[in-house]
Amino acid sequence: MTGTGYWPATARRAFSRRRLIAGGAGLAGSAALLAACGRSGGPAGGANPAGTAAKSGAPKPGGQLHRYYNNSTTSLSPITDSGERLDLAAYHAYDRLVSNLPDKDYVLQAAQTVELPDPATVIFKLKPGMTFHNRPPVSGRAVTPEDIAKSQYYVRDNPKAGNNSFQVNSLQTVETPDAQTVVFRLKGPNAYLFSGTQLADPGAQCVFPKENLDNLETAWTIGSGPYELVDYQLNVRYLYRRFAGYHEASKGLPYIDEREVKVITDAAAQESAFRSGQVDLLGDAGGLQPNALADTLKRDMGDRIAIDQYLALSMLSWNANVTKPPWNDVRIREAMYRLINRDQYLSLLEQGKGKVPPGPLPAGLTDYQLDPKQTDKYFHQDAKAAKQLLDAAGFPYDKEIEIITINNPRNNQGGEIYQQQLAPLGVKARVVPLGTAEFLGQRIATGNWETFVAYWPGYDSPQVPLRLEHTVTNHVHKYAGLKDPTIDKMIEKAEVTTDKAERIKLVKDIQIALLERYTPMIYLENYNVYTARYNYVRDYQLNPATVAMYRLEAWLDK
Amino acid sequence: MQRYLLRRIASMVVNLFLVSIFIFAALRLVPQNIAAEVLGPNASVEQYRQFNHVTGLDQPALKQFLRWGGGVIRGDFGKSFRTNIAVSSEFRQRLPVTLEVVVLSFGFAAVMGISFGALSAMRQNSPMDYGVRLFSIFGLSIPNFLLLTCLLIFPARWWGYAPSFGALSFFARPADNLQLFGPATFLLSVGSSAILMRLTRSAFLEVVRQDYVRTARAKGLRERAVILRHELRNALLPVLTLMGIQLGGLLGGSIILEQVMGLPGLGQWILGAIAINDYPVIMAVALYSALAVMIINLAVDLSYAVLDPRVRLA
Amino acid sequence: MRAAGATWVQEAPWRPRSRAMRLRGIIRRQPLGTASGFIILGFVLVALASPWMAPHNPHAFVGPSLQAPTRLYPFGTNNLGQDILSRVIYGSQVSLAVGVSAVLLGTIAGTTLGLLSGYFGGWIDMIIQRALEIVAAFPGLVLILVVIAALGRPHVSASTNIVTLAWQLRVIVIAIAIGFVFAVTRVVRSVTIGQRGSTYVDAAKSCGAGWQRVIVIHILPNVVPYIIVGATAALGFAILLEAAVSFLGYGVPPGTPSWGADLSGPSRQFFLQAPWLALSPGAAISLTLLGFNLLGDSLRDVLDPRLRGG
Repeated sequence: MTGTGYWPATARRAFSRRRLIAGGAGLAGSAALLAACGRSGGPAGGANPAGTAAKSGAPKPGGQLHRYYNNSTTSLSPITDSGERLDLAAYHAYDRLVSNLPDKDYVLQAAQTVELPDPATVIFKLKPGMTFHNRPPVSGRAVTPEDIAKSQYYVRDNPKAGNNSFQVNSLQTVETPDAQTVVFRLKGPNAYLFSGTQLADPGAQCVFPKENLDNLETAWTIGSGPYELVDYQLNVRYLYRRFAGYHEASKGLPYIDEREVKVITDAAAQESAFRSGQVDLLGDAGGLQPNALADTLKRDMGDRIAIDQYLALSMLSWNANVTKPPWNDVRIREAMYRLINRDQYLSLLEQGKGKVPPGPLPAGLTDYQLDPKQTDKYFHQDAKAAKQLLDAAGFPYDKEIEIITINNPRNNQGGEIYQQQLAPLGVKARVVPLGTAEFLGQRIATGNWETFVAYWPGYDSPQVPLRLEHTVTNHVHKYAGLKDPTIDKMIEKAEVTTDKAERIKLVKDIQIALLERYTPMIYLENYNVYTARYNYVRDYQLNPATVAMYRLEAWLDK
Repeated sequence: MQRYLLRRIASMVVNLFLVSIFIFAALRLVPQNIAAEVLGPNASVEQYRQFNHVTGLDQPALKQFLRWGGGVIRGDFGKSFRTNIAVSSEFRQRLPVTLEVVVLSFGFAAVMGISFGALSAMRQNSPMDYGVRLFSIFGLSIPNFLLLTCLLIFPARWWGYAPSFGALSFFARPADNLQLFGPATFLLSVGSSAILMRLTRSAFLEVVRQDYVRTARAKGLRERAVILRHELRNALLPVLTLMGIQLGGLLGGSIILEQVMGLPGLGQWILGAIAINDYPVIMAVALYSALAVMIINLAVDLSYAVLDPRVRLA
Repeated sequence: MRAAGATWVQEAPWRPRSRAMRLRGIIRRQPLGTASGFIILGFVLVALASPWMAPHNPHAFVGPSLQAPTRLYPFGTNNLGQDILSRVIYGSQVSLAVGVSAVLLGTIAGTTLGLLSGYFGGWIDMIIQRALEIVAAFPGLVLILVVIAALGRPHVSASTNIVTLAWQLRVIVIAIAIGFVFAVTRVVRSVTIGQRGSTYVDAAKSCGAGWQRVIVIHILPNVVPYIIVGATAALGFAILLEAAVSFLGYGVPPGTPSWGADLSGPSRQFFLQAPWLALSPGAAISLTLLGFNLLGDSLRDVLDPRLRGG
């Protein structure tokens, strides 16, 4: 792009250049005028005759729903590829024994009944007449308990699995006594059996046909779910069509004939696609980024769209590695509690829309929340006290603290905020963004990190958040949390307490104990999730736990 | 001519070989634990060992290179570390996307650059001339990623318009395909067309003053013949070299375009590969771009010989 | 129409011209060159004086989130509440540091290689040429990405001044410089080859001058004018490349104010609602590049009279 052009010099150069400048001014002026005209809001939203608050009316079958997935995909396996696990195949092509919703313990899917004769045994009776999609090598044969058993073992034995904690830690064996029954024998009572990381896990609990288990990543997706994969281009576009043999098909479900998912990774491009009507939903997997976009969209597009909202179970946390000095010194950890202003993360990253949890648990787990009045004394801000604590503990001010983040914009900004909060005290810090694999594999798993600020997936039970504080976390985050032997025992007890009231009390006690010792895991904020959809998309509801679109009742009013 | 071609091709092969050594060595300068990145932290030691064995990463560098080179000669470029898909097959899928981007943007740049440059020279100091000169100076200065970002922002804000994402095959859905590629490649071409405009203009101005042009007119040739047979041919010579350079630059620009518009081409591929040290992919794409540049240079040299009979290919 | 090559002829009798009159003469003859000089001077000044010119700390969260441009925040704020004007001003530091260092490094390396290659010829020439052909075989951005992948991405501590910034970003500097070396070497080499047979070189050699002396004292000064013109153009290009690489996410670490990086990353999701986030760094980089392009043109006019005419 360098100028290797020539600038011709004529004798009339001075005169011609004046003309050039005048012409330029004219062009610039008209361009500015155009920009000013165009900027006053987008296309005005016409009044929607049906109205946003109108009742749904009778569902109409048919139509094609257009969505996008916001990250790249590398394979077709919901076990290893997060796109397939969090959205694509897991929610369209595959079925599961059960799923869950926030206010229900579980929802039957492929299972017709669920019985627990004792806390360590789960008996599923399958719905009759379930078949796989009609495509070789599976070719529409019936779903058998053997498929389910083999799927469970496959997930257990797969090291690249995104989440196989149920199969590894809780499941002992799977028995298949007859063609309609599957029996899970557990290692012990599991208090969180039907939560989103256990039996309701969207990816790990898929019913895979045994023929495809060896090459899930490349084989054409075949499942027993409501939609069949009819066309795809890896990392570009996926097209699913309604499967007539689905076990709810007799009720007319799903209503929508086809679902198309395009991969759009750029945030500006996603918004463009939504505004131009190329996709019908924006932010339905994780929320609008940022929250304030909800207001802008509503203002620009008016009655053509609706905004849905819920409190995310996903949270942002600050963590320090308790095995690395100086973070093993409780005074330094307490200093961080005095220094870190949690509200600032909420206001800067989420425009204030969300909630700061009162204790070391995501705010969305409403049953288990502590009373803020109880916990305020642990979190109150006091810069002077912080400095005193740091000085008393001999904090090395000349050393630069390393804050690692997963390299995406929001995570990086979280790290930046922490860095800025340290600055007034003269504490130097450096934000080091890393790729996911490097972050998890080379730093987190090996303990080779000092502090990090990161968003976590949404957990619909306290199981994982509390386990992270345990000495043995059963998680790639081996070195997060407090790792106090007394609290360890409390955590283990809670995991086998199947009585809910008792468990709630226990979990609250654990939280207080963690705060007393200033656990190096501070829950900074839970954000509100806003999603936008065009008004003609009806009955489309989300499950905050699994960020799922697993609602077959959705239909298009077009 | 044939001997020249053979010699050039032989030279290209040698260069490609040297280029592959260069990339191979460069990538291995800083040791990486790729097994941990690909398999994740929860794999067992046995599985890491297995991965390193299958990919050949546990061998000394020289052996790795020989193994890779041997595969290349057979047409096997290995498998991506991350997806385990054969590099050559994914390359075949992604190449048409990048080719379309480069061809379209080069086409825009060449057509707009040369025609406006020539017109501007022939109507010197007219309003159009000023417009062209103004456009070219601004076109040079505005980066292509800024223009592409504006393509995403302003049409959506003002008119609710966005390029149709996800439409890829030209043969399957030509209208959607052009709707996606067209505006973006046009904006990508702005910088190159600006340079070509200026160079064409000044080259034409040089040529117009030459004696042989005056002679041609004095002979009574029609204006069009004068332009085509005398002016264009001679003006194009310096322009050709520049076009070759621009084409090389557009290869790099296509990376930016693919990233912004989310097109699954070679540029997006190598960007993802660099993030996780996916050696087979990086080697394949880098090698391909080196080959492309060499072919372009050869084409430029050959076209010189065609256009200017004085040039003898040494 | 005046004949080509005719110089400006004064009709009035000759009078000594004051400095102001000479300056006005230059401005009249090269208005765009003067304008570009101002732009570039402004750019360098802003970059060197950023800590004093920027109204706020570019990392501090000083204002309300996503505020449109007002008197207090003339370019508005981003979602963290950071002042965009301050970020643009500090961004010029990265551009200047990386740009100047890359051009310096590339020019010095290229000149050295070109002088050696041109003067000695033979197998030294062949080795150097072959090696550079390999590097030149890549399109610019691909080469930079490969080099950055090989050497690792830079980390930046809370930077204080331009020099340390350039050092911390040395990976990007090296990557961009490598791309320039080939072009510089080629030019210097051809000039050297032209010069090495000339009389004064022979005279120096017969006086007993070693090759170092001949190269540095005799040949180098002839090469310098060509380098200068190329270097100014290259500086603009280097700034553009740094912005492109940071835009793709492989340049400066996230959070560092850089014109390219501020066009990508977290701000992208806000662009449609807050266009000033994109337009501010975009205008800054466009203006700077405009300055360099115009300067390159003017320099070519001044130094190469053959190109006038028409």
